[in-house]
Formats: sequence, structure tokens, C-alpha cells
Amino acid sequence: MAYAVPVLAHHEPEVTSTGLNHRKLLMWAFLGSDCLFFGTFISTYMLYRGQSITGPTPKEVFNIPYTSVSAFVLLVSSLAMVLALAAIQRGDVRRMRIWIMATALLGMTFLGGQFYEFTTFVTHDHLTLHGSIFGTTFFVLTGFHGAHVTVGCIWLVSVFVLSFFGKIRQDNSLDVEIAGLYWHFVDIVWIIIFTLVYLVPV
Amino acid sequence: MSDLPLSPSNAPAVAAGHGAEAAHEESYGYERVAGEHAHPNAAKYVQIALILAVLTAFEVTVYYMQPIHEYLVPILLTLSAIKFVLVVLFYMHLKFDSRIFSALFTLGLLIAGGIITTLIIMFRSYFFAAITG
Repeated sequence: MAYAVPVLAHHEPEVTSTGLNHRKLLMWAFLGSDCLFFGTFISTYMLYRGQSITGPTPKEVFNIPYTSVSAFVLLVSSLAMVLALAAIQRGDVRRMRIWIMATALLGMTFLGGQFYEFTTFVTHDHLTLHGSIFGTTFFVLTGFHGAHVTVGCIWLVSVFVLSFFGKIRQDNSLDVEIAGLYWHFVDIVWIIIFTLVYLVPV
Repeated sequence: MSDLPLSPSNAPAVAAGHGAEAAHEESYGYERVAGEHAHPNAAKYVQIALILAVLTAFEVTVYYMQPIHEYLVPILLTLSAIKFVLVVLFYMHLKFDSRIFSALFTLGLLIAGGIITTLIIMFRSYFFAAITG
């Protein structure tokens, strides 16, 4: 049995029952569900904080000035991301490329910092994934956040590469906006982690 | 921009009744959906970034200030909440976009917040004790 499939012209705005773009709607639904994902890890960390029977303790291992710089780097990457979106919405593909690559590089800087921090914790402080309840909850929470940042970096580099093939244009700037939503979400999760995990005393 | 949702049933009405607005929309050069208002410009984004940077610096400063250590947790949580809201409203454009997006995100956020709060109360963690004193 054959079905008639409506085909939209290339630049024709999508018509949906809600009036909202379904990809953007899906991204927001995903971000809402991702709140639950991180919510479970954050609550687990909070529940077990200060309950480790073996060291080291958070106060012994955390380097607040160092992590503050990482938080600042991620914050600046969010600014670069919105500037990339603003550029493509103006039709300025060249500036979009600059800002999107700046965002990806700042994300990679954050990841490099996290890798160094993790390495220091393991080799110098002997804080491991299975050594204490603090190690387990800390590495799982921040590790999954790092995995999200990694996915974001790959996504941003993909957008950067696709722009050279004419796939990223002013009329489909929604592609950049959706990538931006994901990136900003990663940023707001770090805002919470930085406060609850690093700054709030045990 | 019209608050009337664009759907197959009312699309002609939107097009006919809001012709001037439609022409205005075209000047943006990119597809904007129903309920969406113009996004901020680059200067506004930089202003928000400066506020976020100042708040982050303040958070770290407060962490090292012994005299107000008693109020450290509520201060940090408030600063963190302000930063969170600023990013969501301005960088993620929820202030300007359809409220359906806000509802979807808020729903997930409320459930997550409910899970965290309930678990912490149930297990009487040290964190909850720190807030309540």
C-alpha cells in the first residue's frame, strides 16, 4: 500500500501541530531527561559525601583555584557559543567558524584540565574509582560530565567541518542553535557541580 | 511576533493576519518558530558573560572568607542558582522562546530537584544538616 508523503521545499519552514520545530523540541525534551540523569549522580554524591571511612577527603585533594579556572574556561566557551549562533543568524559563516572552533578549543582545554586533575588525584593523592565512596561518587559524576563535554566537542568540530561543505547556512542556523543548547546545558551542569562538589564544605 | 501557534489549521490565518510581522520576520534571515522573540545581540551576550564571571569570582572569594563561613552554603547556592538561571534564560533563549520548551525543561528540572531533595531528606545527609544547621 502506498502512502502520500508530504515533501517540503528546501527552505520552506516546517509546519508542525505545535508550531514548534520538532528537532528543537526533541532537544529540550532530551535536556529535561538529562537533568534526571545528572540529578541521580548529584544526589548520590551528596548522600555519601563525608561518609568515606578511608581517605583522602575532598578538602585534601581539591585545588579550588585550579578548578575555578576550569569553570571560567567553560563559562567563556558558552559566550563563544552564543556568539557563533549570533554570527550564523546574521549570515556571517566566517565568524561562526571562528567562534565555534573557539568553543570547541575551550571545551578541549576544560577536558585537558579534567584529565590532569584526575591523573593527579589517582597518582598523587591515591583517590581511585574503587578506593573509597568519595572516589566512586566523585569520578562517576564528574566523569559523566566530562563525557558530555567530549560529545559536545565532537559535535562542534562536526559543525565546523560541515560549514566548509555549505551545510551550515543562515537559513538553517537551527543546527547551530541545537548544538548550542547542548553545550550550554553542559555548562549549567558544571555550574551546579562546581558549587555542590567543590565549594560546599563537607 | 505573533503568539498564535503556527499549525496546519491556522497557518493561513497567521500568514494573512500578520503579513507585516511576516515581512519583519524575513529580515532576520533565519527560520524562527511560533512564540519565539528576537534573540539578544552580541553586546548583551558579553554583558551576561561579565555578570557570570563576576558571580564565579565572588563564589570563589566567599569560599575563602572565614567571617561569613556560617552562611557559606546558602550564599553559594544562591549565586549558583543565579548563574544557572542567567545561562538558561539568555544563552539558551528560554526567555525569548516558546513556553513549551520552558515547560519541558522545567519538568525535568523539578523531578530531578525532587529526587535530590527527597533522597537527601530520607538519608539525612550531612549536606542537609549543613543547610539547616
